[in-house]
Amino acid sequence: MWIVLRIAWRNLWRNTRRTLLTTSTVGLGLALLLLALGLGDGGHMQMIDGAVRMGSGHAVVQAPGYQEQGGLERTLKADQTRAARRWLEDASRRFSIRATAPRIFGSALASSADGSTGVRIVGVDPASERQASDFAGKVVKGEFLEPGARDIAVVGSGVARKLELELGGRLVLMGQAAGSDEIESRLVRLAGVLHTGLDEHDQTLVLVPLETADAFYRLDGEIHQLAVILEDQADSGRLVAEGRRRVPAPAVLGWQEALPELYDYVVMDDAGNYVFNLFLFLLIAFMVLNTLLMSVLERAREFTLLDALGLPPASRFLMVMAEATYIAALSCLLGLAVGYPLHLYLAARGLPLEWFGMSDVSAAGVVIDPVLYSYLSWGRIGQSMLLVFGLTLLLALLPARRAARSGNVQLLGT
Amino acid sequence: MSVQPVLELKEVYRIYRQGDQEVHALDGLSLRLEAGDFAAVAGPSGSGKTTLLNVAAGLDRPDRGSVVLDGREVTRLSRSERARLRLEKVGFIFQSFNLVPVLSARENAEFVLLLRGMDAAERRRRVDEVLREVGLEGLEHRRPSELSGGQQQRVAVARAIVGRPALVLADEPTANLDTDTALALLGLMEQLNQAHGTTFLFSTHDPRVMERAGRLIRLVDGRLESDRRAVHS
Repeated sequence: MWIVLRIAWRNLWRNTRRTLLTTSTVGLGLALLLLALGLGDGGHMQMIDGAVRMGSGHAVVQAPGYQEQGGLERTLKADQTRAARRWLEDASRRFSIRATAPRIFGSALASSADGSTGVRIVGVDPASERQASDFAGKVVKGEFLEPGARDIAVVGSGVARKLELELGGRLVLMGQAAGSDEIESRLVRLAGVLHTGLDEHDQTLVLVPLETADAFYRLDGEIHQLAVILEDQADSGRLVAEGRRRVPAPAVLGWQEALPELYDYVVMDDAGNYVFNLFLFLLIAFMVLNTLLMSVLERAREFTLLDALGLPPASRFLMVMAEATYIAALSCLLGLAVGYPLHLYLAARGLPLEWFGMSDVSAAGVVIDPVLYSYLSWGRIGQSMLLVFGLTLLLALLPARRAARSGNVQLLGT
Repeated sequence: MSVQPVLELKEVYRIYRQGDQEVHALDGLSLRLEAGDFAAVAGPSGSGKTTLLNVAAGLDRPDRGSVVLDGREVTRLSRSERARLRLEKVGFIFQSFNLVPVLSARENAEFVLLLRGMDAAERRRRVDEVLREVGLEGLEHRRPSELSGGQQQRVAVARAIVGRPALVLADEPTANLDTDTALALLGLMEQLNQAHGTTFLFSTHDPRVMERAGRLIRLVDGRLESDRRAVHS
């Protein structure tokens, strides 16, 4: 056995240039794969984080059916909200919960002296929302909602423009209260204007304090959503699973269900990346196959000699598989040596999209950060290396079979 | 009482096709080799000498007939079983040396013992002994590319005999060697034959080799033309 492995290792260095070329190609292929996966996963994480910080959450607690049908009356009852908060307080010992934010959602007609437009009202707790979302950071004029203040609003830049609103100016909200046919109206003053870069926010969003929204819609302390923001989005799945066990009455949803469009986009984008990576590896695969096959064909006489000396077919098969394993191992080491530092650099410094002429890009309702940061888990690295190993060994089967079957005695006589 | 032969071929046919033609490399050949024989197979090119050696070792399969090597019917064995039989019972010396290029002289000689799973101490002792016997002391760690033709053939002899096989097959072992080296190699093979009783069967064109053979088998067109034992003074 050892002699077979020793011969295999030495065989590798009989044609040093070819071995180096092959391992370099496969290694650089792996490095590219790590880079592509890192930027892909990092980009998706940034998108998810961006979406989460633009009003969703890594997980949300809502009334059952609210996600599908919405409805002003489909609220979390006070006892449900209390139960959910108790669970989240307990869960914060196990999960990296950064913030929880209660929200009320509704629609209204917003009017100023210069016009009116349909708007989306989001009632938020200003203190919680500052931790949970990026809305406060997107304020371009005036200030974000102050804790304790009532009957003030922060509106999207498009709303402010349409209604020609000035800071401190009056804005009348008109809408239907929950469980009532009556039209309510409420006067609020403009505290700030925010610009997110997303039309769906900028053209329609009106943020008001939770108490203002509660009074406007007559919700009696009930809310529509308790959003949960995590430090590490990888915790989302486990948190949601636990929530479903611990607070069964309301619906506990992950970001995938709360943001189905984004989830579908990520899945589709991942699929596209996998196809690209597959093509990349098919090209590399032919290189590996060519190297191994050439190497075996060149050594047909030697394999026949080994057969003549009594080396069984299985050992000759093993010899070629061992050569492939060495190539795969060296390639993985090289790929990791090149790919991982590149990933670390891109994780720290990022890749500016403007280098590729891209700015103000949005997808699936999310503004994509202008700098893409790489994110690679060790699981992803392990998967990639397994792919290289698996593919190389799979491709070695044909040459190895050929080596096992070699026995053209004519080759030995000359 | 008849002694079990080391090698026995009965009515062996090996037919190759070349286009539409059939070439009878072995044409009903029968042959019996006793332990301790030092036999040369002679004959013109294409007479079937190499085919005889290949068939005897189970490297080539006859179309008909029986080949019994050290009591086992070779034609009924699988590829793996034949490889195992060669490992245990046969040593090979080839015209073009055929050493494993990535192994040193010592490792080439040791190869068969490693495959047999022999323990390290016994292996070392045997390899030291055989390398001394073939005169390769001091060259053990050289690879084949660093050895002369004669030295390479000595390594091949060492590899062939180190496992003390029942039969050593040599296909024109002196063909690529100059006269002095060829005679020295032949002397070495004779010495091993006499000292250990190793059975040798080698093909040759070389009249000097034929003269030294204890038994001379002549083939023509795959058939046995003559088989006589020499009487050396």
